[in-house]
Amino acid sequence: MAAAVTAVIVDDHPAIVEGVSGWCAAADPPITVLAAGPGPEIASTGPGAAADVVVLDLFLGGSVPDLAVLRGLVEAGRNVVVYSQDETPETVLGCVDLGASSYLAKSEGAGHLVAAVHAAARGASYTGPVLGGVLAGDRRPERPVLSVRERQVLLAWFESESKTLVAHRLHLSAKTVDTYIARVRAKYADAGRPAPSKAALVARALQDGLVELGEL
Amino acid sequence: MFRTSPAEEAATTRFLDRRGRRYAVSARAVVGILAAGLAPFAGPPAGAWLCGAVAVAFAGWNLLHLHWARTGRPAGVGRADPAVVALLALAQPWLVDPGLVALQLGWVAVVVSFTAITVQWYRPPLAGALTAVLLAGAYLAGCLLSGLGPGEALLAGGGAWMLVGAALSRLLRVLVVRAGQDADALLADRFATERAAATEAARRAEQRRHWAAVHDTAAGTLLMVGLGEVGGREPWLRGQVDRDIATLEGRSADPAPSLARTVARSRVRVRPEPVPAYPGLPGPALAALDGAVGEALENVRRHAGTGAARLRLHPRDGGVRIEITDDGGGFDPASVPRGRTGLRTSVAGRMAGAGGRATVVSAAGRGTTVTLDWPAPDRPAPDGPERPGGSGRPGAADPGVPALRLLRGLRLAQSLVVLVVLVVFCLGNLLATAELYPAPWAAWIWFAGIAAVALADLALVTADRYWGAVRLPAAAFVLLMALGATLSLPADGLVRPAHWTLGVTGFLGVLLFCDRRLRWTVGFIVTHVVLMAGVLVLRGRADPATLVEFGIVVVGVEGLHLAVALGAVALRTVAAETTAAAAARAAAVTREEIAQRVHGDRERRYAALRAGVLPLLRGLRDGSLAPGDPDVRRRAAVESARMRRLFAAGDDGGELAGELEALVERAERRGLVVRFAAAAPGPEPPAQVRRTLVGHVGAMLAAATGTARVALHADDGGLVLAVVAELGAGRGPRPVPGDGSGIRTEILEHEGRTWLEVRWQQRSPR
Repeated sequence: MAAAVTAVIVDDHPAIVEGVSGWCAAADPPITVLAAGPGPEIASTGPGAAADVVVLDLFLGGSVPDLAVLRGLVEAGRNVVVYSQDETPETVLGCVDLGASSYLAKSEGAGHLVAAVHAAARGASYTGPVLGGVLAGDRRPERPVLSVRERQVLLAWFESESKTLVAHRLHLSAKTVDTYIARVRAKYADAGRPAPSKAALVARALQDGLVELGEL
Repeated sequence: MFRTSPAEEAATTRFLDRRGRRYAVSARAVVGILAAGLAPFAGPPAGAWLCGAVAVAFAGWNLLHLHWARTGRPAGVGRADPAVVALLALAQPWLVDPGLVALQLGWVAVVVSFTAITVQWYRPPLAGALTAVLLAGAYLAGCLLSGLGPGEALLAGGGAWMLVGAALSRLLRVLVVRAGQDADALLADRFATERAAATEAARRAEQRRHWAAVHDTAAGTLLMVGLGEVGGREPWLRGQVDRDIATLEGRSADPAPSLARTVARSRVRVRPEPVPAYPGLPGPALAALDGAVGEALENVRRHAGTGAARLRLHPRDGGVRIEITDDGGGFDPASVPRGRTGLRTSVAGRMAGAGGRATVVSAAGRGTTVTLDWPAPDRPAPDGPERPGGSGRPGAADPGVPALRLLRGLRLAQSLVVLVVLVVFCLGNLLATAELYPAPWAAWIWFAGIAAVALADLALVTADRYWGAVRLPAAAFVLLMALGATLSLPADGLVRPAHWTLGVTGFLGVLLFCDRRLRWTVGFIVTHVVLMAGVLVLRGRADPATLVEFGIVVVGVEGLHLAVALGAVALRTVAAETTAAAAARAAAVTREEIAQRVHGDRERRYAALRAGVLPLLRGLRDGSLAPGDPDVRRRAAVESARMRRLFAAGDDGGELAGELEALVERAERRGLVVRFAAAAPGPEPPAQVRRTLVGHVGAMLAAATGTARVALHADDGGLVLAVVAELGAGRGPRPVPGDGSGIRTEILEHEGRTWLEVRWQQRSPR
């Protein structure tokens, strides 16, 4: 049995810190919150520096997303779950490109956040419905090529927020639904700027047998 | 708001000026050189050698003149050419056979009349008229010196025709210039509209950013209360709720903006030092000024290339003016690519949002000055952010009409000119030479045929129609008439006044093909010339003297026809451009209207939101509402979701997104918890489709209990709307058969939940 998952929360809103801490404590297996605070330094100094996963709010006291903090964490090899009010495609895709393990909207609640932290702790990615919708709608020229099926799965996941419903509708098993989504993320991790955690995401996807090298 | 370069304001007029001048001078040079080439072979009294020398010198002058006109040097070259041509006209007794002069077949006549015509395209009206009179006078004097009588010189010799030709050319020029000015006015209007719209959009974005920043905090609190993660005893709760209320009520907790801090943060060297302090102004004004100063300095840092700026602050009565100037590279405001209007829109938007004004003056190589005024000066800005569409031009409703009207005017003028030529010259010649025809009555058939086509054209112009499908048959008919008239002449009447079709047939080609590409007119004229040359050969008149005369006629007459056709092409290009500009402007106005409506709706909802959120927060603070109470939790969840929707979507989300949001809010008032998400923006559907789409969602939400998911995304040039909900017993949606509007629905039921997907496919516009 692996050691308990640990996390550090970077958020300047006490209610969010409180809520996320509560979800982590109630998670199965439990997630230990080592530290929480309003500034990014909490993740790199003291007990927070040792956490497996960083839960990061993008808007730390400003009105523009602070991608520099995310870039710094990713370059330091940290697994980051971005947890943000902002659902604009530019911001979401920007974070995915930088190498965030997951991008969750604040409206996506406990279940998604816990799943994202668990996935990030394994070095894997997690894709919530909001992120799925943004990836399926990506029209940038540099985007990776998705198969028809992958797009279908992403959009159905965005529409229904339920993997059971997606599986039922597309006549797939729930596990296959996960595989399609993970393959999309592996393609994204493989595209664009290199980053340590992106390489790790690809490696993880290969290791888990979600993708073959030739598919990338 | 932004000073624009003259180049942007009068692009079409300048283009027409340049193009018109080049066409005119080139056409004049080509005709001059061709006529000079024929000159020595037309029996000049001074002998072929002397005339040849003059012709070579004149051809050389033509090339030199063309070169000068193209390089624009030396100044005043436009006056030199008519003088040279006038000298040529006076020398006619030595250069042209008097017999040909009397028949208007001299090469000098061609050059003089063509110069009088083309000069109208590059000289002002008065100078052009004087030049034409001078040229006609010199020509008449040359005719008199050649031994012609005054009346003969004026009519048969063609002196009067030169003035008529010049007047027609001026008319054409005036029409084209007016169309160009209309086009420029429309273009300028379009740019102003787009600038105003961009400023407005930036202002709204700024307002939204402000809301988002202010409410980030309240939304976070209510989100966690709604999710049941707040017990009510947390030590931070009171302080946080206090801050939330303060920001919602507009009492900012941020420290007052400081110019010194903003300058220090910008990493730009700012003179003079130390920087002055902001005067005492209302909070929103100071925030906007501070943000605008920050943007302006950021722009200096990124683009000026000097890293230094001068900052001047002038307190005014109850306001302030701040000027930020750099000596950097500057930029041409007209050439900033779309979507890269950072400085312009962000600074102007911030200032406009707070009731101030920003002016950016820049030119490549001359630095940039950003002037920030608060409050905005009373004097309206030249093209300030007045509401687009309110600038009083009817362009949006009837795109391009001025240019189209001018195009019609041109056609009418052409048609009338042809009729005048037919009646005055052709009919005159015909009457004077009727006795040459073996069967005089037959000559009238051909004339009637061609006149019928010219009259039909006049009728079409008045009905605002073109020749369309009967164009080619009509062209063939005209050529047939011309051929008939030519063949019915005795051989010695060819290329003489009796050969009246020679001067008018090409003109009919100009009429018939005036809405087609130039090559059609050229093809028609070439066919006519080839047919006439064939007749000359057939009738044994292919002798050098006749061929030279024929050449001179062709150069003079068809050159004129082609010049008219060229003018029409220029006018048509401008008309098309104007129409496109007007359409683009109308589209911008429509977009802006939609955005304003959506934003206005959002402003109303923002007011409603405060009304819902503030009592909730106050209750949480004073303890009258317990976070653990399920009803309080539900209210908190609903309000935080409303806030999120309000701040997430842009105004370009369109009317569909706006209507869906309103629908979701209605459902929430009934107690339903709705999670609404919109992914990548799609096309805006027509009103009919929008109603159907919203109707489907409304029916689903009305039947739903508990929680529901509504999702909107774009797919393959269409839209997909999905609703997933648990429905009350027996209240399921029914699939709707295709109704021809491109909407399909799909329904899936699984484990008590119903998933409705409505798909709208935009049909291709063709």
